[in-house]
This record gives sequence, C-alpha cells and structure tokens, in this order.
Amino acid sequence: MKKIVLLFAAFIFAAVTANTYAQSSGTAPAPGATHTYSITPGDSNNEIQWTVYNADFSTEATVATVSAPNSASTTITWASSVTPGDWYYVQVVETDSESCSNTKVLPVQITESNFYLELDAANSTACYDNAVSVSIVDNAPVYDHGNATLVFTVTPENLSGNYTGYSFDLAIDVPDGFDATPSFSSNASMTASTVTVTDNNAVTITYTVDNTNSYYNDSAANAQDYTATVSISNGVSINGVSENDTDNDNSDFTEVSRPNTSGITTD
Amino acid sequence: MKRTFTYLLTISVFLLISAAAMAQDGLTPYAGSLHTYSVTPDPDSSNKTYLWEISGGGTINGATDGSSINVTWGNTPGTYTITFTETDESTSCSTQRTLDVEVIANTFFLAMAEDAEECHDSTGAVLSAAASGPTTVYFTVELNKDSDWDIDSWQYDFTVNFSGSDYSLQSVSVDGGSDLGTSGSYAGQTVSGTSSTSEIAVELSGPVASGTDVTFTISNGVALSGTTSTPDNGTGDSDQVLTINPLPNTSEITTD
Repeated sequence: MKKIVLLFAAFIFAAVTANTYAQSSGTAPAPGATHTYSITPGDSNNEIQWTVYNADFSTEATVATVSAPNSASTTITWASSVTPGDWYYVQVVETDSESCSNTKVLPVQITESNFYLELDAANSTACYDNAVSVSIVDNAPVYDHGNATLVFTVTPENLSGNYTGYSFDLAIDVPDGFDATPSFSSNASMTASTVTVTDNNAVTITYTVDNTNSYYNDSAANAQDYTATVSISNGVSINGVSENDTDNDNSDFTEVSRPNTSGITTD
Repeated sequence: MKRTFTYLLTISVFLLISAAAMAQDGLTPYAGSLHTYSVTPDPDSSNKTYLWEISGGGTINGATDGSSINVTWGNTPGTYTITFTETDESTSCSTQRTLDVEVIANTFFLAMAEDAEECHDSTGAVLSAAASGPTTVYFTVELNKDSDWDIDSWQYDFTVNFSGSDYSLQSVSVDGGSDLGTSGSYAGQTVSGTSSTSEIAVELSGPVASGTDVTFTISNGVALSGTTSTPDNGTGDSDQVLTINPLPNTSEITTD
C-alpha cells in the first residue's frame, strides 16, 4: 500500500511539474513568440538597460532578442529553438544621474503554446455550379462541366487577446486540368501561398474550381468527378507563436461530382 | 644661639617640567593646553612652605602650595613667568625659582572630512516594490597637529542626526568597535595618537526610494600626552553631511 501511495504521489508530482500547453504570454512564451515587457521608470530621464539571462542568472541568453534594450518598454523575441520548460530571467536596471540603480527581474519559463488552426470543408460533397455545357466539334459532342464552388473555413483557437492577426500557408490539390482560384472573407488576403488574417477570427476561403478538361461520349461516366483537398501549414500568430497541430486537423476535402450518366446508346 | 642663615645656594631646588619634548611642551605650551610644573624642594621639609605664582596668561588649577601645579594656559600667546617660592618659616629665608613660559598658538584641531553623497546600499540589488533595507555611511574625523609633536591619544564627542522620518538609526560604531547604541549622542571616543583619522560607521534603515541627509558633528576634541591635554583650537569643520541618495522608484516588470 505504501509503495502504491508513493507511486501515486510521484505521478501527481510529475504531472504538476511537467510543461503543459498554455496560451503564450510574457511569462510563459512559446518558442518563436514575441512579447512586450515594460516598466514605469522612477524618472523618465534615467538610463534603462534590459538583459535576458539563462537559468543560471549569470550567462546572457542568446536565444532572446531585445528590440529596445534602453527603453522603458521593449519587445523580446524568443527563438524558435528554445526548449519548453527551460527558465530564463528578464532583468531591467534603471540608473539615475547619481549612479544609483534599481533592478527588477521577471522569471520566464518557455511553454508550448496551445494555439492551433482547424481547417474544415463546408461540405464533404458538392455539385458543379451549373449544367454541363455541350458543344459540337467535328460532328461530335464535347462536354464542358465548368466550375464548382467549394468553401473551406480556417478557425483559430487560443490566440492571445493582446495580439491581433495570424497567417498560414494554403494549398489545394486537384487533378490535372482543374484550375482552382481562391477568394477570401474580408479579414484575409493571400500573397504567393501565404494567407494573412487581420483579426483573430475565422477565415472563409471560397475556391472556384474550373474543370478545363474536355469530355466526350466515350469518356467514362464519372470522368468529371474529382476530390479537392485543401491543406494549411505554418500557422503562426502575429507575435510569432506557431500553431500546435496536435489534433492533425490542417487538411480537409470536398468530393465534387455530378450524376454519372452514361453516354446515349442506341440499337 | 648662633643664628644660622640659610642661603639660596644651600637649597637644591630645581624645576621639573612636563614631558612632550616636541612641538609643544611646558616651556612652549599651546594656548589652551594643560601642563604640570614641579619642583624638588629641600629634602628637609620641616618648617617649609611653598607658593606657586604665575604672572599671567593662565590659571593654576587647584592648590598653589604643593610641590607641583597644573596650569591651564589661556588663549593669548605670549611669555609668562612661573614663580616658585620655598620659605623656611623658622628663619624667614626663602628661595625662588622662576621659569619663563612662552605660550604659542595652538595648531591642534580635529576636522570632519568633506560632505559627500552616495546611493542607498541596496543599489544594484534585485528589489521588490517598496523595498526597504539597511544602508551604512562612514564618517571620518581627521587629526591635524604639528607633525613633530607626538601624542599618546586624542578624544572627541559626537552626535548623529538625520532628516525625515522614513529612516531609523540601527547602529553606530567607531573604528570597527562594538555598537555604541542608537542614542545619537556619544562621548569620549579615544583614538591612538599614531592614528591620523577615526572612522565612524553609522547604519540606518529606510525605504530605498527615499533619501536622507545624515549629519555628524564632533565636539570637545582634545589631544593627550602624559599629563598634558590640549583642546581642539576649533578651526576645523566640525560637521560632515553624508547624503543617502534614493534609488530610482522603478515599477515591477509587466508583460502581456
């Protein structure tokens, strides 16, 4: 019984001390995050010096970049290579004209972020937007299936309320001959493959997929059916917090089809 | 009965003067100093009376009818005469001995070091908001005298005061000695004659964001050599003010 109690106690201790996921903050920043650190000086004319130390409170940390080391307010960017659970100390020294100084220190522990993005298809299946367009070429029908409009949503979770915006890379996989053109809700825009969102809300992505292939009477009945798979990657908040894709929900698809009507046969 | 006259020459008398053969002594005492003058009277003391007199410039302390006197010289330099008369009352014969003494200007004085400023001792330490703690300031009393005048010791009294009510006195010690307490007034501090300075550590406690002025004042300085004592001539600065500068009132670090 005693052994079980000791093991239980050890488990509880480990659970409490283990690095847990949390929203990135100045005292618990995620790898890659940038946060703001400030003081109110005793006198605005005094000199200010910010320094970040490793856990030994002696060695200056190379993994922290201080943007304004001599200002009352500065940002500190924590490198992506920092290890969750590691401790650092943010120190500021205010010195007056008499060389008298005051020193403040803030302990910081690197913490894995619980920020993530979820990609969802509005519909798992969809039809083409319009009826098939038929033209006659060399006395034979040519079928053009046209566009399908596909909607996807990217939803952020656990973004810090102190920072606004996030971004991610966007890709769509469709068969050859299909041209996919995205448009976005008003809070987002895309440059190259990166979508930038200006707030902390969800983004609606509307793809217009144009089937540019030509189909004939001898084409398979389901030749025009296809699956559009959209995926996102490299999600990051405006202050550098990377998405933690623990739920593996950065990909979704929509199957596009129309009735697999065969060609007209006759006797 | 044949009357026997006793003449001056049959009486052995000589004057002794006090020690300190350097800059000042009994022959050339500092103005304000105390010196002892002595004679060895006739070994046959029967029917003998003694009388000491000085022409001016000083005061005989106590009796004037012994074999020695203590004289406190005044503040006016000049040459004065000490006269000793031994009289055989049975014959009315007497012997006189005189000593010319030149009172010289007293060059001995104690002076405080220059006023100064320093930060609260907590400067450079990691502090919490509204931090408070001890800080120690060091005062220096400087001995000034003729370099060729050796003394046994010197003494002084002193007081400690400070401005405001944020601070409290914690301890006072002289030249590394024991705590003298927090009365603020201390008498009879004695320093070896070979030491030219005396250092006094005054520890206070108060908020690091507040400062205070600590004033140290000496009085009753005196140089001692054997039985000789010479008072401070009062020309030195008797006050020293050390200002404890506050530390910047920095807020805690805030972050998002």
